[in-house]
Formats: sequence, C-alpha cells, structure tokens
Amino acid sequence: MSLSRASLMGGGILLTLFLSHLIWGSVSIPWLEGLMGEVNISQDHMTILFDVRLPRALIALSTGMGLSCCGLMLQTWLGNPLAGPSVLGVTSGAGMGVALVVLAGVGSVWWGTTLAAFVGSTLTLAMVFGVSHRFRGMASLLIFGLMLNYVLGALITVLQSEADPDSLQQFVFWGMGTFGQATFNVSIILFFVILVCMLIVWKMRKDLDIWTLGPLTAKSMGVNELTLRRQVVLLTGMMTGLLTAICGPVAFLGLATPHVVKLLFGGRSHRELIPLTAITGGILALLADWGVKGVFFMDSGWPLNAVLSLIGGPMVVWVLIKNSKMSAA
Amino acid sequence: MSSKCTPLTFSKLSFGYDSQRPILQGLNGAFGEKGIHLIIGKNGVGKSTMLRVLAGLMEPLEGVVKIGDQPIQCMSQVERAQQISFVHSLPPKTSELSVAEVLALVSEDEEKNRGALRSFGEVDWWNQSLHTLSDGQAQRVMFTRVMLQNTEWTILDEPTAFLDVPSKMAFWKELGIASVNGKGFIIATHDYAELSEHVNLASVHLIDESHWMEIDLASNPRLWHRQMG
Repeated sequence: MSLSRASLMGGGILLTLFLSHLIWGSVSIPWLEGLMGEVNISQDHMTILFDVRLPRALIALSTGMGLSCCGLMLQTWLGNPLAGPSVLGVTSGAGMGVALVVLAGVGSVWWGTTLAAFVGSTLTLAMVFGVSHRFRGMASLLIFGLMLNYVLGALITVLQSEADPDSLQQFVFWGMGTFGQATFNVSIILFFVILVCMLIVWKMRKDLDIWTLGPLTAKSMGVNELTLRRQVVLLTGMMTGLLTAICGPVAFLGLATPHVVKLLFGGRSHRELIPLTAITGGILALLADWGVKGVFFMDSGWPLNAVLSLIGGPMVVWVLIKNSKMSAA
Repeated sequence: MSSKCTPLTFSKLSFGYDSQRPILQGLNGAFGEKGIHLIIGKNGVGKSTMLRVLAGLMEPLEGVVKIGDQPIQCMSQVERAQQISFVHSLPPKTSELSVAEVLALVSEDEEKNRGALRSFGEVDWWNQSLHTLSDGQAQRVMFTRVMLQNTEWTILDEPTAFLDVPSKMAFWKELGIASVNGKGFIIATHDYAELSEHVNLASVHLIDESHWMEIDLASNPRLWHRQMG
C-alpha cells in the first residue's frame, strides 16, 4: 500500500474514532434532534463536550501518537524490536518523579508533577543509554530495564508506605492510568507540545534511517552520534514524562504500535514509519479508551492499563516468535 | 577528475581502548597516492582499530590523522563523510530498509543507483529488505553505498570475507576503475597473495605488535606472511 493511501485511510479511521468519542459517552446527548432543531442542546451538554469528552479524546490521541513515536525512536536507536518507554524503565522514572511530588506532599499542581515526571524519565533514559554500550545483545539491556523497573518500583513502594492516605489514594488512582483526568486547557497544551515534538522527530527521519545501518556505518555516512542520542533522549524523556504525568504509566502502546505498523503496512523507512506510527498509535489509544469506557462489554469498563496489557502482552509474544523465526531462517 | 589524491597522513598516532595500554603507539605514515593500499597483519594486532581511527570513527589516544593539511578530528561528521567513507567487515543485516531506500540515503538518482549496484554483480533484489539478504548481497549494497558516497578516500575492513568468487572479482575490478579515476582505498585483507596477481597495488603495509612497515611490492607476496613474525 502506498504511503499516501495508508495515511489517508488511517487518518480517516482516526478522525472517525475521535469524533465517536465526542458524540457518544455515558450521558447520551441528543445531537441529531439538536441539529434538527427539535430539542435544545443544553449548557450542561456543552460542558460535557468541552470539559470532559474533548479533553479526554485529545489526551488519548496525544498519548497514542507520542508514546508510539517514542517506542519507534527507541527501537531504531537501540536496534532492538522490544524496546519501548515502559520496557526500559522510562515510564517508571517518570512515575518516580510523580511519586516524589505527590507522596512526599511537595504539592500537586499539574505542572509540578509534570516537571518531576519529565526530569525522572529523562534521567532514567540517559542512564539506560549511558550503560547501553556495555551490554552485548538485545537481552541484557532489556533485563537492565526490567531491573530498573523493579528498583524504581520498590522505591515508589517505600514512598507509598510513608505517605498519608489522601495522597496515597491519589497516587494509586494515577497508577492505573486514565485519559480522563485533564482539563480543557491542559489537553490543548499537551496536544500541541506532542505535535511539536513529533515534527522534530519527523526532521530526524533521515538520520534515523541511516542509524539502522549500525553505529559505525552511520557515523561514516555523516550522522553525529552524540547529537542524535541527545535528541532521542530529550524527545523521549519529554513526551513520556509529560504523558505519564497526566495519564499515569501507560503500558505497551510505545512497544506495540511500531510492530502493528510494520505488520499492516510493511513500512520500513522513517518517512513512512513516523506518520503511520503516529496515526496507528492514535487509533489504538482511542480504541483502548472505548474498552475503558465500556462499550464492548456493555457495563462499566476496565482500567486503561488492564485493557492495554491484554492487547499488548500477546503482541510482544508474537514479536518474539516472529524474530526467532527470522534469526533461525 | 584529478589524477592525484589529497594525501591521507598520520603522525605520532597511538590507539587502543585503554590509555594505559595502547595497542600501537607513535605511528607515522602517509598514503600519498590514489589507488589500492593494503594493510596486512595477523588477527588481533589492531588492524580494525587502526582503520576506525583513520576513518575518524574512533578517537586516537594520541596523535593526529590528516587529509591534506586538515585534521579529521576537527571536521564535523558531515564534512568528514564527504572526504572519507568506511565499510565494515560485517554488513549491516539489522536494517529493515530496502536496497533502494539504503542507496537513496546517499544519492537520489535511482537510475544511477541501480547502475552502480549492478556493477558489483547482477541483482533481482532491488526492493528487498536488507535483513532478508545474504551477507554477501548486503555487503555488495554497502560497496555501492560507498561508491555513491563518492569520497576521495575509502577505508574497508576485510570487505570481501562473505563474497562468492564472481562478486570478489567484480569488487576488485570496480576498485581498480575507481582508483584510476583518482580515488584512494585503504583495505585490511588476508587475501593479499591472490590479490597481488590480479590487482595493481599502490602500497602494502604490515602491522604487528610493534611495527608499521611498508613491504616491497617487488618481493614475493606468498612470502609476505613470513614477515608477520
């Protein structure tokens, strides 16, 4: 499938899903009758649209696009198909930042947790990249990320045991992950920040392509390793940090989306991968949020991370099987 | 095109992974002319490390490498990639890019790219992804890539290890043509005896634990390995 056709189709699905989240929800709003002039759309309905549904859909969209692009960048940079922000401890790093702010009671204004999450994720990723050259092979670095997850998780548990009940409750709720906790203003700001980050990723597409040929070849072709690494660390730290602060630690999106794209579209160069990953990530996040809202199962939905893990877990197993077949061939 | 190459020189060069124990130190030398220069030596004496330092991919512990009178350490990555290119002994099989996409990274003229790839042997895998190719096929893509990168100097680390015989012949023939056209190649290889019969060499240097010495091209190549000690 050509890039333009795939983007057009994906964009169409994305837009439809986005609108579906605005139109339907737990409160039914009589849009059609309103448009026909039979009933008036009340002020309350407009409040639901602009203060609940639009922010939630925007946050889901931003998270899907942003985390998926982070996953793509990390997989390319490390040459490792199982890399992703939640695998490498980046999400936990952000969580650590949030835990310090929320549980230590430093204050819980949204920009405070956001800044802490950004610092936490960037530092963690810098650490992962700092040690990555010491590991040979794909497994060791992933195990390092896993251990980092455990250690950060343990530290967070220690903080939790010391925290007062109110902030503990707030933190546990945050940990389940949700797209539904942002105000209109926050969602708009976040959406534009993610868009700007993705434009920067788009500008890096040629360097990322060259990087797939391996560090030595890439450097001999004119890629500046240090600059590219800094860009990947800062952009991933920024996007993962911001999104994690607002949505909680969101599992699997970053890891799984690039594989869905490669499977569906066979995209290989970053000129194709970046837009398709963003679109597909947005679609997956909006789909998952339908699972959270509970349309598939009629009664009330499931926590976001439960839905994503149920989709993402089998996905990773599938990637592992596919890769072992490839190396056996 | 100029018939002379800008010389690639190095002085007081020490390199290795540990500043306390450099692999080799205090090397001086020059590759003054266009053509094919071989570096020979036993496994593990530091040929690959030296080539990476010469290509500017690794910082030397001491000393400088220059093209003309410009130290390569002072160039930006992009400037350096216009003057000197590098082919690794292992072709990059991790990339999912297609052959066409890899070559498009260095040259956007698809007809020219196809022609360049064909000069290293016939191909029917133009749209195939690099990680589905054999090592030899992927290495031919890398040769084409450096030819299109069109630098005055190209450094190759045991480039022919995975090639079948026809591909090897095509490779050396292309290098011969390019060197007549003013390009310089510095190549680490173990195929020197066979090579010296088919290819015009500009120089051969031997590297061992303590030496960097030029070998007399008039001597018998079958005996060169004796000098490795």
